[in-house]
Amino acid sequence: MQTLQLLISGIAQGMIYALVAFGYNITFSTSKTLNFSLGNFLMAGGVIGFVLYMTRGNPYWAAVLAVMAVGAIGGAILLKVAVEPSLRQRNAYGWILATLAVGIILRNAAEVFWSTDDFKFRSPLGDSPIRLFQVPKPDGTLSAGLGVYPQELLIIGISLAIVAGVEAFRKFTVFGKAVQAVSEDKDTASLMGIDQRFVILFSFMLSTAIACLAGVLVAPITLVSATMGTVLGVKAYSASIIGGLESGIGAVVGGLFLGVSEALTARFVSTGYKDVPGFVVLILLLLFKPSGLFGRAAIRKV
Amino acid sequence: MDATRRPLLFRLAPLLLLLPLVLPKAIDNGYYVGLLNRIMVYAILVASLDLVVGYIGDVSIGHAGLFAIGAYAVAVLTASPNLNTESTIAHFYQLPFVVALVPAVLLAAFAGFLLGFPALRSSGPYLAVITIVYGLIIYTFINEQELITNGTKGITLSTLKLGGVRLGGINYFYVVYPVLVVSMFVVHNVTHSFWGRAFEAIKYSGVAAESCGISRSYFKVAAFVLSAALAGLAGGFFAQLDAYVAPNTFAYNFSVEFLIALIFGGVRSVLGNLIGVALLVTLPDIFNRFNDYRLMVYGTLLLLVLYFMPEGVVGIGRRIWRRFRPEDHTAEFAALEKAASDVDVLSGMRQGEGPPALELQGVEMRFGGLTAVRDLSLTIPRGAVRGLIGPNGSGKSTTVNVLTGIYVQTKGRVLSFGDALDGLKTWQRARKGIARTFQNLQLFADLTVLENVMVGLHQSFKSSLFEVMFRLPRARREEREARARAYALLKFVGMEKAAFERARNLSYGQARHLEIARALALSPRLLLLDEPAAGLTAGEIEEINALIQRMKAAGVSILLIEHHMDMVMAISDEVTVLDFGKKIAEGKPGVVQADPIVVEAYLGKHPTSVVVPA
Amino acid sequence: MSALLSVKDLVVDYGKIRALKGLTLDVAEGELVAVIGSNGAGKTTLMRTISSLLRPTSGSITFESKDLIAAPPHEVVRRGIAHVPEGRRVFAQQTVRDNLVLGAFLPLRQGLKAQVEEDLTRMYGIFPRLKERQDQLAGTLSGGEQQMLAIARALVSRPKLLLLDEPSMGLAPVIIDEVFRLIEQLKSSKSTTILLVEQLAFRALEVADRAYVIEQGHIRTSGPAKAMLANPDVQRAYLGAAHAH
Repeated sequence: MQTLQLLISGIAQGMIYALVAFGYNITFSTSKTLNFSLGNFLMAGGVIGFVLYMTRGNPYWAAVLAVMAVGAIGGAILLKVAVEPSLRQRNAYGWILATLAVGIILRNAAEVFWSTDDFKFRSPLGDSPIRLFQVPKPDGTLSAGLGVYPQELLIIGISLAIVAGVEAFRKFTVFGKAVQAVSEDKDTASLMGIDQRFVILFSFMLSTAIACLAGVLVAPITLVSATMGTVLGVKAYSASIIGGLESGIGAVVGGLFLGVSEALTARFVSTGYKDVPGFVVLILLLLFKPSGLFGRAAIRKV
Repeated sequence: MDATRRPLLFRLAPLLLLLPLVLPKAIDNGYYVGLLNRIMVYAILVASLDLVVGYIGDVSIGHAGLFAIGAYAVAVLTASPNLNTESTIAHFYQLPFVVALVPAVLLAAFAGFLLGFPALRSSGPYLAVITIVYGLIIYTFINEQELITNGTKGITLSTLKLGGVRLGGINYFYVVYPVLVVSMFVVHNVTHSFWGRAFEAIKYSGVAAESCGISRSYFKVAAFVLSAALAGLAGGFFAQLDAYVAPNTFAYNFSVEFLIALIFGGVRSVLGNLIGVALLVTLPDIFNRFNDYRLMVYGTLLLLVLYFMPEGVVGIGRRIWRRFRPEDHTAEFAALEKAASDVDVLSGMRQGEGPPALELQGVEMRFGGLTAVRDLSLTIPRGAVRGLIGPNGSGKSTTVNVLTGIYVQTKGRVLSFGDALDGLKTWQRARKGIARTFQNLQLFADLTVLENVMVGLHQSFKSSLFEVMFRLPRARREEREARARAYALLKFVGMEKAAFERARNLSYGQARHLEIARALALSPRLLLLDEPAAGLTAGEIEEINALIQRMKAAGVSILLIEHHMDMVMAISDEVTVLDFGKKIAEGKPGVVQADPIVVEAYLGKHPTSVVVPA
Repeated sequence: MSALLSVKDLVVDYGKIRALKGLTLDVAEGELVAVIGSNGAGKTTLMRTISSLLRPTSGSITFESKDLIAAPPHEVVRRGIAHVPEGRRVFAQQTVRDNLVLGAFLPLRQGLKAQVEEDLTRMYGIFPRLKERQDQLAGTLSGGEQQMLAIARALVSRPKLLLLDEPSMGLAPVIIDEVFRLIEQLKSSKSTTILLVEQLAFRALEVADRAYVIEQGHIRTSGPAKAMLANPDVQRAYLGAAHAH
């Protein structure tokens, strides 16, 4: 029972990783760049959500929408200010440094304009766990049963909905197919009349909006702080790469693997080492199958 | 950059290095001298980072981890129980500081070695992620292994004592300063030698580097090992800086800040490393409460530097300097002219009788379901010029790649001068005398023309790394001789006047000539020219033809892949024609030109059966 | 008759190489014009510049008397130019049907769903094999089938001008026959104007009305296709001036 509880928490945390990993994949597949500030966008989502919901008392759903809107605008700004200028430069990896720079600016801005402390974010569905499978005990009371936090269920539900929604959009709408076309071969996509710059802009805005949403979703089960995004962002790379950098399902599998392995390691080995299995799998994969579990290895002709 | 200096400056420079030794007494302020010490230790770290980022061209965001290994190794090995009374440390070794440095550096070097392998397989963002993860793994270990590191509470070190002299506080300057000078001296020497050129060659074009006889695997891993060792060394001295180490110093942000310092100061410059670090350390000091805004300022600074001054402060400094004193290489030209006058560029290429220059026996190259080359047999006699032609997709590039070892053929054998090449890597084949030029130009863009050719001379350097690091006589002599030979090679192709131009600024025709000079630097027995005439004017093609004739006269065997028919037919002894991966014709140019099978391969079947007169 | 497409003194640099050195040609409505020449002569550079995938250094390109150079690639398509790229470049990871749908991207965005359905049916009529394989991933098709798909994909948007870049490349002779039969069919149905770039000169000259021969970025000769079949310049452009044995 305890293990099941642990698994559910691990799955919830894993879905958060999956959302951020999904964000990485979306921009990577269209622009072939990895957004090193995406974790900090998650933090921005959590912080702005906190300010709106906890400090100012706005309804949770309003905070969610506002955060996603801000995230989308932020993504557009990131693209125009950091990524596009770097891609025009001579140095092939300038965009890595540029997105890193934006990341640390975001984090410090949160510290300066908001706070350096950690805060507790109340869940809109209440902070007490829902108890399931309770059985009566000999002394008349109920057993603890399985305790699940409503926020965890919310996270799992919304994350799956988002991933499913975006994947459905990709496969079944014309615009979604256009996005796939740009990821596969952007010059030929242009020949179909598809505006690749717009597609890339759209993918950036979508990925940062999703990251911000992940921030406001995860806030109730961790603490909100200016630094909450940094390590999370790094772990989400693992999820991306484990699943394959261009795959939607891969992000979910990668995220789940990470979340669950973390929860189990924290419980049965030590909390300090909970990140290690994820890192080890990542390094092994990068050495032997860099395209990830679901990725396609590209055949390059010299 | 060029290693020549005017004799007077050269003799005075070492003396200038003694000047800073008066600083501690002159300033006589513990806080400011401490700041200087910090700048010096950090500068060594940034110089180590530069080896990977500036020279090999990979972004590393995990050097904090390598620094931490050095710092913690020294801390763990030198700490005494008296100063760490409440610690959870299981065993105190209490070794002397200097002794502890050795395992610290070795351990860091080993960590660099482990990092080198992923670096071979990944690049760009993937590698950046691996370095971040590396840093985090090391951080986690330090944080958690309380029995060794005392976890978050950190380790306190005893004040440094060498030979009975207390060297803490202000006096630590006298320890760190010499280490800084020696480290920078070593880094400068390595990066301005054939080692540094090999690193940069790998950065600009791995394939071209390999074709110059440089093993990408070896040098890339070596760069990571050297970088890590130096970072570890810096870490060791850092531990004594505050006589205290704690895990939270070595977190992810630390790596990011040093990356910023490196870019800001300017990559590939020891002076730039110092300037970048000085800024990083002193800015918080100048502005009150700066620490609160530190990361925002650095982030913005990084963006500004990336867009407006990608060459850093040092780059701007150079530009300003050039305004007042434009580049003048007259003295260097004169010296090179003199040195090159007794170099015989074509020696070593002459061959007598013997097995053919190249033999392909039944070579097949399949990629999954696609057979790019099938049952190809080809023999090029010594000293011959062979043209290889065929329509698009006929398998010419595949053949070249099989020859140079980029692809391993699925069937058949490749021999050159009687030696089987099978199993040999590209760089090994280069060392056996097979040189090539590239269809799509693979120059080392930001190296000078002279340096590009010197990369081609890589295998002529026999000095050990130690000799290079300390500029011992043999290393200096080999460098001088290589420069002279490189210059002579440039004269051979008519490019000597552009010796100090960056390769990226050359015109297309000049670039082609440079590739040939670089290929000749290998003293090749077999030279592969991959579409040397593409995009050239008629006059430039004449020049290339003349060069080919001279090389042929010197006894070099040549395989020429070309689409420019007039050129191929004029210069080749024989021509081999491929279509759909198979040989369809072979023989003297005139015969091949008129062969109806060849005509059909290129132009398709003629609708009438009238053969068009040539 | 004013030209549908008019290229004047076009100079295009590809990195450091001057790929086109002042090219002039035009295509009138309803014609099939061939541009032939050997590798590296500049044929694909010309096509990519018309499609705005490359920017010219100087010169002009006009389509229906309006400047084309300033238009970004998706705008060029909107004006009615469809490009079948060299090497076909089908979207391997999408189905045959989705590839065609992507070809109709612009009409679909304009809400012309019924017209697109009609065009898809029409394509399946011309290319029955594509209909059989409509749910297969395009990457699993044979080379010849991919070429058909790439052409169908371009035709589905009812272009005014079809740019066909080296349709024979990498295909076996029998399949090349099929492809050229199709090109003949397109020409006789007068559905669209065609600019055909080909390495196999004789094949191209057989189907074309007029032709230009490119060599090293210049136009060497031009004229009615049938006349050029007998012109020795053509063979010389490919295989060089004759050499004594």
